[in-house]
Amino acid sequence: MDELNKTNRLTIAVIGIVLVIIIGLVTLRRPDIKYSLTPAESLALLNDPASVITPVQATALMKDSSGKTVFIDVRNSIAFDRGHIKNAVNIQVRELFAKKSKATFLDLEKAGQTAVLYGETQQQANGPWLILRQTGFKNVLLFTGNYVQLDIANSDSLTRLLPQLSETPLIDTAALKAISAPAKTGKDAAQPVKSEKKKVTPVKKEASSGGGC
Amino acid sequence: MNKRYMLLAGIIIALGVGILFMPAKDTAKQTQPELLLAAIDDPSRFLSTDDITDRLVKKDPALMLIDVRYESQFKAFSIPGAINIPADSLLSASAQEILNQKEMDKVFYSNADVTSDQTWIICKRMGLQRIYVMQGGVNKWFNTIVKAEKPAETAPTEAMDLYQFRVAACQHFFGSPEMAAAPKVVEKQKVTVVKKTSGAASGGGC
Repeated sequence: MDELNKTNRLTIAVIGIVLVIIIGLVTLRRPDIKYSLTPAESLALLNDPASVITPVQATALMKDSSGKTVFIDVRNSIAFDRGHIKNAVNIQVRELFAKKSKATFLDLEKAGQTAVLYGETQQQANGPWLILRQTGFKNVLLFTGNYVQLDIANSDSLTRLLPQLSETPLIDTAALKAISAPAKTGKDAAQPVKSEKKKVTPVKKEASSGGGC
Repeated sequence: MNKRYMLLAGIIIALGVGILFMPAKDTAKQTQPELLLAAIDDPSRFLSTDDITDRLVKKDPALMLIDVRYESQFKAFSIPGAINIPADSLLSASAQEILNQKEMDKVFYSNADVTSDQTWIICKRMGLQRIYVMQGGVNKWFNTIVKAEKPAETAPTEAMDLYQFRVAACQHFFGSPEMAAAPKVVEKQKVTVVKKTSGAASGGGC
């Protein structure tokens, strides 16, 4: 009797362990979205001129009607409805990994088309671009300007707003020199007077002078 | 019965060997793409130039300002108190050591906020904590703090206060030209100690 019980328990244990392993393997799902670039590779991407589209290139692409390039608008739907590039597709930042958006990018990849991401500023399209590239979409390019610059109705648009928001250094060091150069001499001149001011000469009270209670 | 024991042991050993040969995973610390996207959509990483200036003036010990521009640009002009980690050398051992200091608020800045934001995204992916971006970058900082524009006479008090704060901050960092004229003003304030006359002194009492 004892022997029989022991055997039964062992059989149950074997079946149990095998079941757990099978269930584990069946339910094991690899994450849908994975990084395909290492941090070092994504860092190298930042200095890659082939991954970006400058405002000048973009205006040429907009006139091009071969359909090789599709503009993706990452602004919110309100801004998109107010105005956008002809034939642009609206995919907001937070919907980037939604099923529909993923399908759009996969379709573009299959068709051999290039997606150009643009936002209100370059900074807005920056994150979506970097995250798409890191998760393996190689056909995604970043527009390095602001939406305003893509507005062809405005002939002056290419140069508008560019300096303030791009990475071009705008520091006018002459202005700084004007501030700091005379200041140094000023400080030096001011110093002796300052120290003089601090000097305290104690006046001893004469013992005889003061009456008291 | 023995067979069953061996089967059990075999399964366990097979699993153990499997774990042994599994690829090393250094991705455990990484932020998953979905979470990274949510973080990108959240503007709370942006700190304003005025906030940073305020913390610099107050010498906040938890603030670490990181200039991610090229070394040449950093040498030409940088915000006082900032350290230079060019974006290219972000993954070097020395840079990682600096960035991994948990108790510091690491604030990235570049000329605008494009490079700094890209740096932030890569750091965020690698799971770094307490990282921020200075909105507008050093261009905005220079044009609002060093070249602060005086608001119109009719501007609200807040605008006037902000302007005065910016001018004071600029003087704090770089000094000011007005100080060259200061000595005369200071001289006026010289305190001359007048000895009490003996006549007055004699008349002490309650």
